[in-house]
Amino acid sequence: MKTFWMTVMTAWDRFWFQKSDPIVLSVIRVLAGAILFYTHLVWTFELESFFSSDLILSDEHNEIITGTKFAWSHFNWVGSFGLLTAIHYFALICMFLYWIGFYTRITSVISLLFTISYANRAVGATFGLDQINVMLTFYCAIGPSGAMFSMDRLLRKRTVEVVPTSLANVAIRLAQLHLCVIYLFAGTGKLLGSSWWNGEAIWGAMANSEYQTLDLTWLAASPYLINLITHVSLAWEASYVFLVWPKWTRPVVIGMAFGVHLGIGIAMGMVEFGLIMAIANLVFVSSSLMRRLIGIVLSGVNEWPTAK
Amino acid sequence: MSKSNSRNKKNRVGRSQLETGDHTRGDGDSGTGPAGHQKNDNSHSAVDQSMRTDWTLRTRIIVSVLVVLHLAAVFSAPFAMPQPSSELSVGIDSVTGPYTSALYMRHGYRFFAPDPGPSHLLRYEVIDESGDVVAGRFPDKSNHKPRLMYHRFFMISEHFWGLGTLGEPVENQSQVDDLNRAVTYLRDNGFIDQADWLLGSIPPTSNEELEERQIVKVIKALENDGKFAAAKSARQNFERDRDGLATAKRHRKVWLAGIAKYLKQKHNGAVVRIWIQEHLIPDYDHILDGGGLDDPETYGPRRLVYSDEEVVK
Repeated sequence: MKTFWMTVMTAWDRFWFQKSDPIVLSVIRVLAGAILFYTHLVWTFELESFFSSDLILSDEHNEIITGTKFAWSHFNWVGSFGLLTAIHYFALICMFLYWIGFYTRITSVISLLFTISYANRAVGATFGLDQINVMLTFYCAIGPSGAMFSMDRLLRKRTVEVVPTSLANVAIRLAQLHLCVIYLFAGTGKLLGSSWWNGEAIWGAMANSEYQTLDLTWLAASPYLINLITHVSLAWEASYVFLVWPKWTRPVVIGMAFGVHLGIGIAMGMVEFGLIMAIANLVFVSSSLMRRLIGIVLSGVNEWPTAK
Repeated sequence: MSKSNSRNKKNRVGRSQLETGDHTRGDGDSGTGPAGHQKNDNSHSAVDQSMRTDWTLRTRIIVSVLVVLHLAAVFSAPFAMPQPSSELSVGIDSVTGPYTSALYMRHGYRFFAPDPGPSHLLRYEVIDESGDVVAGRFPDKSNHKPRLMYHRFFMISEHFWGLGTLGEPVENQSQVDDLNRAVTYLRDNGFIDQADWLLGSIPPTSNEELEERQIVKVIKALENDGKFAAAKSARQNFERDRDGLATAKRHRKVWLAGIAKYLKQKHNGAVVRIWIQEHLIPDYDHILDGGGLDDPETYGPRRLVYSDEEVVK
């Protein structure tokens, strides 16, 4: 019995606290940071319409839809629209600095707070993109996401070296498990829907005019193919939480994730959501593989620590 | 201090190592799970040693407790919402809710579930002082750009539909009044069954009213069949939903007032009317017969949900 508990504790220790190379977290910061910055940049076009206290997402609307005072937002505390605009540009600057990895320890936390604040205020106009933005920024703020591919590294490269840390591992592990929770409920939620069983769910998505950016209605002539895509999509999503861990099934599961999410981005006009979900799946890419991939992408750039 | 420095040196991934790709000692492979070890490598023990945490047992215990609590909170939100959900899951969510709400992590994550359904549009007309009318809709591909902004407007019409529709058939009100008078007449003259039958056929003045009538009927039918557990469950759900409906009604009113004000400002208008409309998904045959996704028959009826008083008069 004692041996059993020792084994469990050792496994727990290794799973959570073994030191980890920060490359995966750093790559996620660069990619997700770009999406984060763009997401908030787009708010600039309709800032007043959405965030004024009495227009589309009014104070009273926000109070009812969130239903809790814990869903905080700076928009609820600042009345002057001029000041809100100034704060908006300050938030954009922070997010840009976080994206390029400048004082990442500080800018990641500030960016996280702003991301939560905007999302909590914009409930009613938010969707999965905002949820994953918060999730990835949260874990990048926990771990050393500015250790590589950052201004921090460029500015301090002579004195600071890339150090594997337990904190990097904790951040990645949390992101992995959070992503599994998301797929678990996204998958099991679909099991309640009849169209996922009769094989027509994918048709419901691709024949929706409001989403459609790529015409796939020619598939109406191949209902079996629609059925197959539906069943495979559901099987993949419902089994993700189990099959993403074994090393033999992981490449298939992650490959499917990239295919599905980028497909949604291209065919259904949700490019940002498709990309952020694909980026989130990078938490399951090993640091050694990530080094090889980065080595290929940045082979001509000597400034970055790449695998040659 | 010197001890800490030597430990840091030992665990460093040197720049030269990183640049040459020699990361045998520096690759924790956290993304792969515990299987990231190179078991056939002679340097196996060296890998384990260099990647072993330098956190104290106390730190590890504290972090372990924090990650377990955090992940329990992350799990509890989609476990409890949306309905149906157990009393246990709702109870746990009520404890973790403040934490997950503060982090914007209180979500159901049911993307395209249970079924990808039809879209919902908010159509509007804005009339200015001179009587000119501007018509538009949420979302609108030609006006809401970039695409992400289009999705913001799309989410507004979708979330609004989720509150239930008012759907007040103002033009049928006199007919509804006649039928209500007929029901009263039948009841007063002892034709109870006939009165109930007629009551069920009266068009609702709101979806909530229709829903309430139908649910009460279903609950009675369940009780008559001796299915008391199902009836109890239905009654509990109904009573909970009824409380939610009151909030939804207030929410619709507040939200529409904000949207109407936005439309008036944007189009320099004096009067606004807003309708909600469902855009259905056509079936295979419709497309194979040469139909399109936006054909008129794919749109449901428009239901007026907002109108300034001036228009009503």
